[in-house]
Amino acid sequence: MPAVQPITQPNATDTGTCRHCGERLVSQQVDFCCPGCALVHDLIHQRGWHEYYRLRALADGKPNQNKNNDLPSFAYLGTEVYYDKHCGRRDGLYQGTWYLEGLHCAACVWLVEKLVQNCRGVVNSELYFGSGKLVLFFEAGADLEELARLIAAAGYQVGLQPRVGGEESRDLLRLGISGALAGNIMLMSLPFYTGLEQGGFALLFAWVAFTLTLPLLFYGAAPFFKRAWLAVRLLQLNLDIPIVIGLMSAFVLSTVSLLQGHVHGLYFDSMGMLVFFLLTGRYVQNMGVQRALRETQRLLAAMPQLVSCREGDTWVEKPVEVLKRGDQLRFRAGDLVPVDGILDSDEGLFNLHVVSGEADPVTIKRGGRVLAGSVNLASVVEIILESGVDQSQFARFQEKSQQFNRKKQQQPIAEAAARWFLPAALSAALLGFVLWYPSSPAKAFSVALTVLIVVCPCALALAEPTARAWGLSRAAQAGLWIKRPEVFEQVPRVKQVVFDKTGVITEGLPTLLETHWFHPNQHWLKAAICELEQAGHHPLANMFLSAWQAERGPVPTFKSVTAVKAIPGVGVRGEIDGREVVVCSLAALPQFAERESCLATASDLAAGLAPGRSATAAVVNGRLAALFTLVDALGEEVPEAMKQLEKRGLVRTILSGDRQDVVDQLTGMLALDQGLGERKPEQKLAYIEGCRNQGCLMVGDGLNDMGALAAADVGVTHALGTGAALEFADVVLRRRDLTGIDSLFDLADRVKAATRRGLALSLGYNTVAVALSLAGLIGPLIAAVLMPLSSLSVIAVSAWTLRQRSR
Amino acid sequence: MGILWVLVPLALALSGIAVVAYVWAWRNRQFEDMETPAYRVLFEDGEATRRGPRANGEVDKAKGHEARG
Amino acid sequence: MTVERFRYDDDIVRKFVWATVIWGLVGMLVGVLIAFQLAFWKANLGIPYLTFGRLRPLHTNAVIFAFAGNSFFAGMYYASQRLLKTRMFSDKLSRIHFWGWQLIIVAAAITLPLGITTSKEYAELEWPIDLAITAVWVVMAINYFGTIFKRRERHLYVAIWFFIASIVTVAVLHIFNSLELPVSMTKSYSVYAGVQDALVQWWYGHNAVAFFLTTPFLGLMYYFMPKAAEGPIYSYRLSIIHFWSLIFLYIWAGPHHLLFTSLPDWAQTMGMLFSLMLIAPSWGGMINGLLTLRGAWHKLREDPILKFMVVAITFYGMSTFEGPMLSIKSLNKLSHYTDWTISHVHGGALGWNGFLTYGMIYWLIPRLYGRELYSKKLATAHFWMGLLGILIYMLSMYIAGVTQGLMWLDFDNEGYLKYPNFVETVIAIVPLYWIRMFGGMLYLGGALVMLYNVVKTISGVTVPEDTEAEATPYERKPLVGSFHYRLEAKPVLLTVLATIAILIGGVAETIPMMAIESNVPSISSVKPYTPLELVGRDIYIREGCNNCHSQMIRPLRAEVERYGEYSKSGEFVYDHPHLWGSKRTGPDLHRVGGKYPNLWHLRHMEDPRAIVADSIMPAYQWLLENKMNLGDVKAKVNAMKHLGVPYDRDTVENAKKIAEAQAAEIGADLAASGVEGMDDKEITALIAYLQRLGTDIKK
Repeated sequence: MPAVQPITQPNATDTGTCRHCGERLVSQQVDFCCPGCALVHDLIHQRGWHEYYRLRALADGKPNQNKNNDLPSFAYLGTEVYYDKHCGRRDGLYQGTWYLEGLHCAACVWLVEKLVQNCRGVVNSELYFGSGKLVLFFEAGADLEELARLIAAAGYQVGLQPRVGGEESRDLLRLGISGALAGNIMLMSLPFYTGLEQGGFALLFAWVAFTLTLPLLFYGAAPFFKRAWLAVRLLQLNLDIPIVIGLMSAFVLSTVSLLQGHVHGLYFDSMGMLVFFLLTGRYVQNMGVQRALRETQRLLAAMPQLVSCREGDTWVEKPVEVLKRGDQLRFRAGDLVPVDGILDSDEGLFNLHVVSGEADPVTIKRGGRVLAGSVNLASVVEIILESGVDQSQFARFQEKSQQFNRKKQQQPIAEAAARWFLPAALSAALLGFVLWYPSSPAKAFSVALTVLIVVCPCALALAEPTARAWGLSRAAQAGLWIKRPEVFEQVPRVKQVVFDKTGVITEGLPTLLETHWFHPNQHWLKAAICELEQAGHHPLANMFLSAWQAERGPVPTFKSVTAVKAIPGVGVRGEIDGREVVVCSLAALPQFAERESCLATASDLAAGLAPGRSATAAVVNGRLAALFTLVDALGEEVPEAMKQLEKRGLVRTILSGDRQDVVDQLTGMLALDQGLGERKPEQKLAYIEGCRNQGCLMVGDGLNDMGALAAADVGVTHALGTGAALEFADVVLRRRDLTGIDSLFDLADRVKAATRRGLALSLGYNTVAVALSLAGLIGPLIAAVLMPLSSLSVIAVSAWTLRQRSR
Repeated sequence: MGILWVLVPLALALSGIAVVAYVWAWRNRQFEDMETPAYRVLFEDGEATRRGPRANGEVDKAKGHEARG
Repeated sequence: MTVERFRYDDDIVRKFVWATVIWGLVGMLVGVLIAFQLAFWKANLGIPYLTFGRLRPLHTNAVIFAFAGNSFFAGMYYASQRLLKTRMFSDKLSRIHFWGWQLIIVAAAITLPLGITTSKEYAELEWPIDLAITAVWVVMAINYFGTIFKRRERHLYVAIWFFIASIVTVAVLHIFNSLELPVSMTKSYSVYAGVQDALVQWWYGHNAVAFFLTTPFLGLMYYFMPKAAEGPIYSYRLSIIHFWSLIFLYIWAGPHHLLFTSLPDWAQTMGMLFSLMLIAPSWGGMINGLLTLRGAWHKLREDPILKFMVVAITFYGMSTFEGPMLSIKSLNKLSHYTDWTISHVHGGALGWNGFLTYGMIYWLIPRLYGRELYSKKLATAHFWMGLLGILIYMLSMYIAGVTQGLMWLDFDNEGYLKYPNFVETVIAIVPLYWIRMFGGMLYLGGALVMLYNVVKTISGVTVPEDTEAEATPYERKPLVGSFHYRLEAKPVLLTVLATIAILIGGVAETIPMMAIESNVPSISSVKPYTPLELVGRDIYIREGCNNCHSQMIRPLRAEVERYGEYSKSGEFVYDHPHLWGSKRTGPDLHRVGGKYPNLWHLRHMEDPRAIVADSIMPAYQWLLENKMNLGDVKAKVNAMKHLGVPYDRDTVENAKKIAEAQAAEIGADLAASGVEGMDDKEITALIAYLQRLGTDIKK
């Protein structure tokens, strides 16, 4: 038996590891690597929650961490709008759902549940490990803000459910009950297969089977009846119609036969298996889709922002939903502007990457238009709300995209087979009847029904769903979430792949490539730069942080950090412990650094920069302290991915909002077919609309790609993409790894092959079986045995085809 | 063999009970979360006076509590 | 949230753990003793109470209901309280359950050696004890469902599902199999006869394996395996699927115990098919259990608890594979009635139930007594002793089974049986009986090592207080409205409930009718037993002859050749209960009637070796000494009449006289052969019964 686990993590200072997360510490004087760890450890320690560490040790788990201690604001959870818009009411309690990102072991579940239990006002809760869903039942005034803060401090991202979730699905209930019924019907039918002749038991078994078939038919098979009825009303044909005809004819024939006292030649068991198999096929497929949707939903979860809005003389934090036209709003540096407005400050610097795809910040002057989705980079700006939230350009664009998405969903599933299958089956039955009628009317009836049972197209109906279900599960294994299984049909028809540039082909964020140090105390400078960048909400802050995260150790405590100012188009400056520290572009360097030698070094560097690279400098007290070379790096696997697509003979196009020269350079480097730069979102959409229905796959990640993703035959994004992209894409790559697209093609090919083989098998079976039954060579009993066998073989063929060539 | 007249309804009744249990479980949302319970079983949760195995087998209760928290 | 503090009832778990340990030793000790008796007949000791026939049911009952039963309850009480985050519903009911169950076991340990038995396998206990079992089971069920009702955790972990299924199903099985008509406090007759009784018996017998030895232990596996492996179960989803498919499938595999018997062919084939289907859910469970160790196989090296559990699950997988294979008719032809079956069940009992129990006990003891286990090395030694014991046991019995099975079926070139003397096939496997006994002793030795280890662990320890725990209450949020109002909104539920209501009504109506009315005898020459034969039959039952002798000749050439005309279902219509047997340690007796003179039987019972030199049968000299009891013969005949056996009024009224007359006849015959004074001895009644066996059909 394993001995008692250590009480806390490896004892802090002597081993030089963090007492919470166990990471190596830089300094001997501190116990924790970061304030986040310290906070969580204190929390756990004070309350005697050592079970957490025990569980974590069992799972060999690393804790989640919130290193930079930069927690988002959860003030929204205290607003009325949250209660109104996001919470349900039940039995006098509110019910709200959050999404947590980062649960990975038993310790996580334990800790979060403990935190919830200790939250004032929360009466009950449910935590779902798989989906990361946390459902809270609470009284008005519950301290949700504090709860969210603690959970976030423990290293889990907290977000709100993006939409009110769908209804509970009754599929599982139906499947389970149908399974039980089918199993028992089979039990009652087995004696006939094992040699039971007429007699009391035979009647008992037969009647029980009949009784059990009633709920199976009218409850279990109800969805098929509904869809068939719908098709009939719309004067369309779908595969549910032959299923229903098959079920009904088997049922009527068996019942008539039973009423006449015959116990042989009953098909109740075949009906049971048929319904159960069909429901299983559809359930498995749905489960795959649900899973993909859940994953994207989780990625979409975010905490809505509160906006500072002037009310009289004071600033009040308000949710976006309640803002009115003409409201005066205030945004700090780093804030995302959620609405369209007119700039009311002298000048503002905004990053429009998600709006337009342009990577470089844009300066806007007083009176200029700020679009929803822009990020305020510089100092505090004020904006007058131009229109209601729903009428922002973004909202209108979103509405348009939704129309595309709806259109896609209405696309009828290709049921070409059904269109001729049903008439063919019916005429075969009729033919049988006509052929046999002269010789024996009774035989004619039996032959016609045998034909109907034999062709009961469960194999046909199963071929596509099972192939897709297998495809979905393979896709999940390969790191692809497929939100619409119809994608499998559309992908093989794709001729052109269109890429967004920033964030798709390139990483979208500068990465530190090279560093030249001139300052003696690198450690201090790194800390200072990080401090300054964060305080000034400079776009490079994250780059520096992530580059130095590992080596940074504990946060050095500066005595004073003052006069931090982001200078639009230049950089950020501030005074740290009395020293003036500036991070600025090379072009602006002469403003801050006087010495010739530095300038010479800097211009040398600038001259040697390869295209696509840029440089930035750090200056301390007017002396050049460091030079950094930055690059918006290509995704590592991009060249490989492009080659794969080239092999497939696809046209590859870049469609970007960024400058044409940058796009051209990339197009050349990757040997792509086309590079279209400086396209606004509307233009992107227009371009894609032009290629629509000609096999166009769009890969994008930004707000500006939303329309294009929705309009494309297949829209692909990755998990790091913006919410809008996730929402409108059909396929989400788990990582920003474009080789996933090749896997998608590969998978779609295999699904197609599996479907084809399944269909071929099923049609072959039908043809042979129909011929035999027309000839009167097989009776209804053999037909009933063949029916589930053919479905099973279709499932097997699907599985086998998708296993083949799988890596 | 006449006993089958009893056993068959009995078996069906048992299946019926199972179906009712299934419906109950579904309505009780027992199937909604198919992952967390597997983790939750590992909690030695809230066992305030935790007594567990201790190294070297001493009969020191208080110390035992400390050791396990 | 309001956090409630409460204490788990650990005391009841300790009680059940100790009961498990002690009864396990008793059961295994009896097992070793009867194994010894098979290898060495003198070990029957000449004492009526200690013969193989009487001890074998004691062994099976002790191991199944005392050892495995208490183990199930110990684990269930420990796991359920923690999984449901509440103390048991009622401490009093828990104790009634505990003491009631132990009392039942003690009653079994007393009555079975006394020969008070119904003769139905795994349900040998007489009707007062059956009633007590029902009462205790109901108490436990109330306690358990009460606990579920007041739980603080919304989710019922899969282990709970398995416990619930076990409790419900075992209740139904026990009640229906044990329907019997009492004659006196210590005697009753099964309401079913012949084929019906056999079918109910094996419907019960197989499901006892399923719902007493499998589902409860799967419940334990699903709790203790993750705990011991310190990681979550491989797939919770799989466990749920495997639970429901097991529940829907298991109930119908029973007839595989009756292959090639008088059961109709279609029913046999059905039993075979369902048994084969069972592989899927069973292996689902095994895979789920084993893969729980994924990524942690290295722990297996040091941790004896995991060793026990992993091997237990492996044996579960092996048994659930071997079982369906043995259910295939062509293989069953060879294995049935032989020691192969014995090998199979011991794989399950020693491997799956025993090892899982030991793993659980080693895990529980330190937690229940607040002290580290005394010696991990001894636990590991126990593991190896046990494993070696099982392997020796199973291999020897497997070889014995196959050897004897082949010998029974073997013909020489002239078309005669190669081994016409049954005893030849016994002598061939006696050495293997010695080996088996050694294997059993090794296993028992391991259990003793555990006893020492556990006693050492807890000696001097102050028993800790009940574990205190805290949890937030779970608010069930019911639909608003009256029950029926809500029901109306749920058509499915309504339908199901209505169906069940109808079924229950149907069952209640049909049982008395069906149970009492036996099959119309399809063979007109088959007549009820005479009162004396009935008395003799009860002696046959008392001595447990059916534990070694079958009364069911299969329609195989070798059997017909050896024993005579194969058995027909119509011949058993007055057999309350049936005595088909499941194991042939001795030859089949269905056609023994008229085969030998009365004196042969007398001498054979007095000293089997006087007739068959190498016989391993115990001597029953007391049958020649004890006076037969004809005091209740009228009551017996009357009871049979109530069960539908067509005795006329005259036979009932004059039962005693008729019996005495027949006894005098046999006594006279014996006297003529030189043995005087047997008219009123038990042997006479037994001879009357034996001479009647299987003769009706010849008339």
